Amino acid sequence: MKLVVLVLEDEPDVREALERDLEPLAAHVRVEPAQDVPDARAVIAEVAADGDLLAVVLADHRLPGTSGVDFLVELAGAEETAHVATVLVTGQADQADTIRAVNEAGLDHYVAKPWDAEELRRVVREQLTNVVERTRVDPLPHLAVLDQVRAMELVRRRSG
Amino acid sequence: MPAPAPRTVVVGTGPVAETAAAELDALRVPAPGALAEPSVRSAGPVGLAVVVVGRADADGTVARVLGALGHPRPRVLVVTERLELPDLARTLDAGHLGGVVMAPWTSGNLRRYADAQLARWVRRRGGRAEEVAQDRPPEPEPRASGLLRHLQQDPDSAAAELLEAVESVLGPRPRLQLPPHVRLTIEDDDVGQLFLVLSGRVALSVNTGVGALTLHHASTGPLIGLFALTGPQAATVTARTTTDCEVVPLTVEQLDRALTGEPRVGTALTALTVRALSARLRRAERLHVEKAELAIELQRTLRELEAARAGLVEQARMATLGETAAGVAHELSNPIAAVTRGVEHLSADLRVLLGGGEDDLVRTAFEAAETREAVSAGDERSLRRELAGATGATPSQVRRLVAAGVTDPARAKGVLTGPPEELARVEAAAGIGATLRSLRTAADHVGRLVEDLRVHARPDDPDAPLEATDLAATVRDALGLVEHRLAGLTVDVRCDADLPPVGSRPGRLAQVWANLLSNAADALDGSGRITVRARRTEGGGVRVEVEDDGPGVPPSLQGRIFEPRFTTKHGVVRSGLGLGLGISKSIVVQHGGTIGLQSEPGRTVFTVELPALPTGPGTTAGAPTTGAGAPAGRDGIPPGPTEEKEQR
Repeated sequence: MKLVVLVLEDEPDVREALERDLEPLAAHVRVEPAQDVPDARAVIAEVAADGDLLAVVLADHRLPGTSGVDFLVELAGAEETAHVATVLVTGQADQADTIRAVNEAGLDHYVAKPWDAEELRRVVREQLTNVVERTRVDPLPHLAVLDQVRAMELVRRRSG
Repeated sequence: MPAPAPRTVVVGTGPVAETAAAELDALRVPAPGALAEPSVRSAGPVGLAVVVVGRADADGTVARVLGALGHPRPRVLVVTERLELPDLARTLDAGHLGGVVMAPWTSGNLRRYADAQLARWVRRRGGRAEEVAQDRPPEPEPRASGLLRHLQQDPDSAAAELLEAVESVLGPRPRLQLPPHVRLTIEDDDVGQLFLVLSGRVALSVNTGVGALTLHHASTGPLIGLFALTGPQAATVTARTTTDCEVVPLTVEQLDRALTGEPRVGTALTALTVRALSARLRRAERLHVEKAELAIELQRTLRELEAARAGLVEQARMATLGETAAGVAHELSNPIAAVTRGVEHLSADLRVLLGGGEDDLVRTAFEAAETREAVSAGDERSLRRELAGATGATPSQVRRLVAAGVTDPARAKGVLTGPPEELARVEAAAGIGATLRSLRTAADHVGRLVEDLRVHARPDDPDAPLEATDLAATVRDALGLVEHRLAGLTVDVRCDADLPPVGSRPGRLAQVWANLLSNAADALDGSGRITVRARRTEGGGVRVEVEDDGPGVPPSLQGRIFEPRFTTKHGVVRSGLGLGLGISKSIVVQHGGTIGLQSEPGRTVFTVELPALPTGPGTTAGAPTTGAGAPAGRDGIPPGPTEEKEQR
């Protein structure tokens, strides 16, 4: 079972850049691109079919059709995706959108474009760790992509 | 046949009413209700109601009398013994009160008053007062008032009478014969005498900040220097003859002597003065009304001027904007040409540098990236799955291979089994190819914007001749131009067969229809119907309508939809700069036509009217050309890449 990071971004170049920056994690976590909300739903279905666990969604706010915020709200409202950590990666969310993302989608983090690659990976690690803690998944197979200190604490608690 | 003489009725009971009826020899009824009897009105119209008011409510009684008599409304004389009449206000306010007579009256007076009222009633209806006399001889006026008689005289005889009275005391007065433009009084000088104008006309004027202003001319009257009567003071006006005049000067002292010696002088002078002042007052009142009307007119004019000024400012602003845009377009055309050429040079040079044959992995990756369309995320995922299954490469390698366009398992294996830097080289080549492709797309985009700006800002040479053009052909051209945007839509084109040729510049009308069709397609978003109709107008021109059954343009946007840069897709650039409808309007206006919009949900119609083809200079005669013709001049826009390569 792999943890999955979904990158939802309509600009191919930006999507590619996000994936490239997540490359160091890619050996231990499954990174899947999606260009719009229907595409993202297809990824969720694929992930479920493969028996993997959707853990983090990085979504742009501006997307064709359904907006990224709408999608995050949808995820937060569905039982099977309620555990997913939501991160808004955006250059131009207005205040109303952001407030909605926080209040209704339980937004976990906000990454402003342009992002710093190191910071992006730190955010994803932290969110993956949160999800592992929340879902009581065994941290051991995923240690490489988790916050080391917190992950060890989790392991100790589970064994103790 | 003369109208039947009007009658008098007396309404009331008691000795007063009976005396009145007897003196007037009139029908008497005891109460207003009795007036409704047909016998009352059968003998002719009632011209005067003499209403005898006792203690009952006078307003109510009069109202009932008038209500019972109906039309034509008679005049009303109220006869009463009361000294206090708090109950006549409504009658007076309504204009129904002809007069009030106190009872008892001196015998004969009521009849005199009644005759005068009847005379007025007749005059009011366009008749002559003599008809009132009926069969009674007119009563002689027992106490003729000199003042009233003078006031009703014509001004000249009044002046002559005054002079005669004055001369009866002072002896003959010398007459002054004056030419025009002689000043009788001068503004701000002392007035010591009056002038009696026997013939000719005099204007009264004052000096104002804006020059001499005539106050009275027709309303001057025969007496000049009235202010002298109120004591020594400066004249407030300048009196000046405007025709040959004959005047008699009278000093205040002379007048005083005449007044003392002959009472008729006082009466005549008073009458003349009252007449002169009331004529001047009437004119002043009329001027006051005119002033109020002019003030309103002035305000309206000011508002119109303000609107016109705003329009001019807007025009100037747009003209400046247009020139700026044209300047920017011109300045941009050279750098953009450099970018476009640079991309092609880079592309060609890189191929030389890369060398290699058809199967060289690096070169293939470069060429694939330079031409391929962006892959959707879904396709990317399935390509990755396939490649991972076929090669067993790591997810990272698979991602890099697919991103570099290496999706063929055999090639992928070649890259993976080659030297360790091979994948990095393939990625770099693909990156360069993709960058060149983006640059080319971006340069094309900027080029189109520049062209749009150029067309919008610096339209065709207005002196260039209009060509006789077959309108239906321009519509066909437009449909060809935007065919790719109309997929999935029903497009219905109805061009009447008898369309007259219209004047146009090559390609421009097709551009208008193409813009309108694109606009409709945008509104329909993939499904719906567009109808294009073209028919001859009564004026011999052509009306073209482009209709769609889309959601419609919100009323708040309809006013601005032809403004340049307007786009309903917020933040999304459309039709080049979002100039589409603005350009369409510019073109239509340059062709002497109009463009309008009617929109409601389910029906949006753009209507373009083009005038009949003007004949005479400025028009190429001859057979209609098709609308498309040669593309518009592209000065400032770089030639296409193919031509460029041949030149090198």
